[in-house]
Amino acid sequence: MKIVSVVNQKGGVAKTTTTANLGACLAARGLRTLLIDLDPQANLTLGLGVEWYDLGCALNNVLLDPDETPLASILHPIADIPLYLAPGHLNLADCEVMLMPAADRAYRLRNALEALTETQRFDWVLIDCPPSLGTLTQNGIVASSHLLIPTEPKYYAFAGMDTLNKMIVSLTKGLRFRVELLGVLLTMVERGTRLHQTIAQEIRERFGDKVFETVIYKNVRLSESEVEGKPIILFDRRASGAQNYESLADEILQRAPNDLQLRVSNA
Amino acid sequence: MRADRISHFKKRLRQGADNFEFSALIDGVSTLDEPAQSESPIAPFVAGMAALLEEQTAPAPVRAPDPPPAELKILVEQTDFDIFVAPVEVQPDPQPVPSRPTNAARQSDRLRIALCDLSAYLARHATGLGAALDVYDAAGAGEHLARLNHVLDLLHSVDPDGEQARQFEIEGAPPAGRPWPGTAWSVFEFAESPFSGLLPGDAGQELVQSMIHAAWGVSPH
Repeated sequence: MKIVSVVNQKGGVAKTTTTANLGACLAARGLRTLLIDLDPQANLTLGLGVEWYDLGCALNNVLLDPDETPLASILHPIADIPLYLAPGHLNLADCEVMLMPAADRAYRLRNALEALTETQRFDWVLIDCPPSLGTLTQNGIVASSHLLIPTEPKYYAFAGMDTLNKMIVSLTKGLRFRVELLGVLLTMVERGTRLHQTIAQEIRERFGDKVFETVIYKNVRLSESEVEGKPIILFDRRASGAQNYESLADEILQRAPNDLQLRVSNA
Repeated sequence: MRADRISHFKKRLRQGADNFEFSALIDGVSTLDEPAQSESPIAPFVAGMAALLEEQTAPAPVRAPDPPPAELKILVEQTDFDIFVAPVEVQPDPQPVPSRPTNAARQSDRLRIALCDLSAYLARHATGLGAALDVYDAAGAGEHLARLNHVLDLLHSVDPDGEQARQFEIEGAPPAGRPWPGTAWSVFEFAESPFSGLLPGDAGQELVQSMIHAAWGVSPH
């Protein structure tokens, strides 16, 4: 099972859009995929047609009371593909404070996922992290085997990734975890803009082959699909945004370890 | 963009990017092979404008802060405005309340304990800030200020007007009608903050600027 935190403390770089649409593309290939909405804004939840304000229990309950609300109890199936959602909620914002006295506060999500996988198998888990570096994002990173960093081709991207780098180094001082970079994904790219091309080139030079070849271009159909509460491949498979995310899924599966590739090729 | 502008832009971009570090991201990290440590919250660090991570606090009763220097106490008493982070004796954490049947009651209890811890943390670092400023230790003061700011961000997210803390009768709660102080990430904001009352009488703007720079994690030189 690959657990990927989609992380960047800068907001508006398409973390949620990437989590939803990449997850749908993986599920459409027959891979059981779980999406976890760790963001108190709960946009992933809304964007997949689940109205968090009507939910009795959500991810905040799992983090605060895992014995009473196991992760398995809050999962929602999405569409007719093996895609599942652990919904977020506004009350996740309180977790930052509520978890402070807990010695295991950074391990809550990891523990919940370990308990889930005792009874349910998933191939991929994608975690939509909030645009911050607090306890919720720490939970995401500590629970993950990989990080996926969406970023706009802007100068501030470097500062943001430098800060994320510092945070990960600091986490190693007190926590036990292992994480590697699955890739840096350039998002919100405007075609034909030399500025974007220049900055994207600099990012590629810094991060080498860790930057995905696939680029997510600005596409209004992506925003429309969120209004409809559907991933783009289920809303309009012909849209360029859908093709971008299909290409990203292909590229990620090529980077996947051999055991996963074998299973996919034998399917 | 014209070619000369592109060339200039690339050069500036490269110079700026050279100041950043990405090795942990590129190489990945793992602490699983290290000797097992206690599963405790992470050690503190100051990382500039990013959210700071808390010092380890055990769920045990709250430790009272170190007694403030005498000069700080006098300064606090002489100020015209409220400093509700003035050195106060922090009471030990109250006995754990037995589980109650409703989620709302559990939530309320958690909030009370969290506010109690945060208020004690605030008092501890306000004392540290005052002590560092007294000896013109801008770096030390900056570290305390950064942690104060982070805790204030958390307090504002759950109790912006201070009312919850007052209802729970938390030590160090803001006075009636007053919210928690705002964060101070600039000279101007610090001047408006009650923490500015901790400055030595002859402190100049340079000390404040150096402290702010330290809080941001940026060397002023």
